[in-house]
Amino acid sequence: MSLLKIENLKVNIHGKEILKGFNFEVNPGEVHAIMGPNGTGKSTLANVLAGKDEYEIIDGSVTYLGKNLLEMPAEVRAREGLFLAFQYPVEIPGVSNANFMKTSLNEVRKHRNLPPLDAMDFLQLMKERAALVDIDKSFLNRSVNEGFSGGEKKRNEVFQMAMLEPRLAVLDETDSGLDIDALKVVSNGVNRLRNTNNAFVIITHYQRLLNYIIPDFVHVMYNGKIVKSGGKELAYELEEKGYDWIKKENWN
Amino acid sequence: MNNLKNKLIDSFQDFQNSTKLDKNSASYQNICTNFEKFSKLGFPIIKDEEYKYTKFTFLNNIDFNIPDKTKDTSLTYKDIESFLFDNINSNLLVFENGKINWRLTKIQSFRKVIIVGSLKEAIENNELVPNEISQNSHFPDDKLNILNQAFLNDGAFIQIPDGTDLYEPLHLAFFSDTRNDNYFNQIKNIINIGECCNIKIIISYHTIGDKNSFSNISTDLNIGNFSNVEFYNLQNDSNNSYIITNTNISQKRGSVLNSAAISLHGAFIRNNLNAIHLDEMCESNYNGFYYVDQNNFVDNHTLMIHAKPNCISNETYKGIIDDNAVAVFNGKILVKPNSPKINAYQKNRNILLTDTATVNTKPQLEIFTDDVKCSHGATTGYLEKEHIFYLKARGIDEDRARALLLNAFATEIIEKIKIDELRDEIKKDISKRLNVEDDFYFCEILESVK
Repeated sequence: MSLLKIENLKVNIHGKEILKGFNFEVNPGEVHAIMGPNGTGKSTLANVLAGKDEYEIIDGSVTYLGKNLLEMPAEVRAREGLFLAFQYPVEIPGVSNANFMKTSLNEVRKHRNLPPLDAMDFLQLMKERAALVDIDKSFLNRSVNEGFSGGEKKRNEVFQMAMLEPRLAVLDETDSGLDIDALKVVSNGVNRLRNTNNAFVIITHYQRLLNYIIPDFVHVMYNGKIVKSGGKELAYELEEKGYDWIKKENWN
Repeated sequence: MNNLKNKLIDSFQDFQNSTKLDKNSASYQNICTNFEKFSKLGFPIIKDEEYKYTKFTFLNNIDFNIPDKTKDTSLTYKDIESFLFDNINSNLLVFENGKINWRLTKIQSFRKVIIVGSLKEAIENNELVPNEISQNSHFPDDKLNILNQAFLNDGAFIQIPDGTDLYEPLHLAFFSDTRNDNYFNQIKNIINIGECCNIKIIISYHTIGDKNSFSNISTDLNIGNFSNVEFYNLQNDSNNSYIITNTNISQKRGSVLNSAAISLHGAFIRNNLNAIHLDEMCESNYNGFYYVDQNNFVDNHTLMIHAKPNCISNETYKGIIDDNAVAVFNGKILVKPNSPKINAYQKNRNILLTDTATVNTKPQLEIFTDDVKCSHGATTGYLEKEHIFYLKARGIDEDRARALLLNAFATEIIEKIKIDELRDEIKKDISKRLNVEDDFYFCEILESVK
């Protein structure tokens, strides 16, 4: 059974059609990269999957682990193992990273019929996963993303992913705003979490990230649809030629 | 409204006939002057600018009586036990319907050093210099403060000598026993703090019984040179409680005031908090948090007078307003002529939880000197959708997400309370009300890994 299957998805925002019959399938163990020029609906796709409610679903279906994803509230999707690493993580003053993650992790565990982690075990896990993305433990006491640099925010997203161990992670431009070292740290985190049971969808503008996280498939999205799919060599081709040839091919 | 006023006029006649005060004394004269003023002015009406949003209509609906001051106090430890803070070893002063209850008042070992007592007794025994009774000349007249001074009211009279570093806080607990009747109680506190002291003060209000209580409490707090004072005004009473406080603070050279007004419950709360810097190098930090629901009303009026150069004031009031509740914030900063090098900041933030909740907020700056830094800002809004979605995207449902965010909103103020046990107690109250677990054990462990 596929992990995620999107069929003919059409989505509007404020009456404007963004996704125009989107088809996509992800199986366990796979890493997909979605590339494409600005404004083609990549982030919309990520937000629709995560359950943001300002989008209007016009047509199509999204099946996640055999269930209708579009009917699930956002929090249930997360508990079912779907994770979105935000393009622009928000700052939440006053809520500490530790308290946030503890609440989050225990909600997810409850959904999986696991007992809540006690404080010591939780802390142990947190330290271990923080080390994975090279985050200093002092950050655990800081408010969620408050005063974080762009790179720290993105690392925090990957840290949260490491904590929640999702089945399907969607990384929305997690590489933008990262310097080369941070890029390595983030990629390394993702690579360590990869296994045959889970899958990643990586939305990116640059081929650079794909040097570190080797994708099984690369898709090019244009005008609300996937217009081209291939192996990782497609990413090199895009890097070299830009998106113009894709645009020309799909001129209509 | 006139009903209570008439009762007060009658009770003044009783006072005149029975008082032990010398009719020529300054105290007596002061009382008479204020009584005349009160008879003329009465209770505030909404035409009074400072009471524009504050309606005293409850005085028309509830028939308040004035407790018989000749009656002995009757509350026992059992009555008040549940209202006291569990883990705080404080010096407790208990007042019952406007009268000190000596049996429940518990002053610890330093009694020899500081003077703690009943203000009424002190005045009657002539232990006070007359001008100590009225030091409100710096601040504008307030009708309820006038009413407060129109009688010989009891309250705490505290003198702290120079150099006192008090570990245990002073806790002034005002009880209204309304098991038999609706009562109007007045209290007047005078707290004089000497030089280089370190003092913490907690004030709390409690109604015992189902009938209504209306309390009018005035406090004069005079802080000496280089002293450090923590002042916590806690209002977590019931739906039959109507509270008015007037707090007038004067600060001398190099003194620091940290105040927090926490209003969690009560049918009607009005706090007037006024402070003035009488010398240079003073610092005042006003903090406030209110969380009102149902048909409750809370109103914070603050006034910071900068009368000398080189001083700082910092004010942050935050509020959550639920159901049909109404909140008012009016913060005024006045920088008098010839007081340059002032830093004065003010901030008021409100979160409305329903469409029927109301906030009236008004920051005011009046600056008569050049070379000062002042700012103010007020915001009112709903919880950020983006924040809620972020938490939902991590498996946290909407209700819990909202509760976490509101708890965090309150935390900024509550964290400023420097008595740890009190801070935790209030945090617990708020978390409980929001239905979020605040895992203190977890927090402690976290502290340890810092």
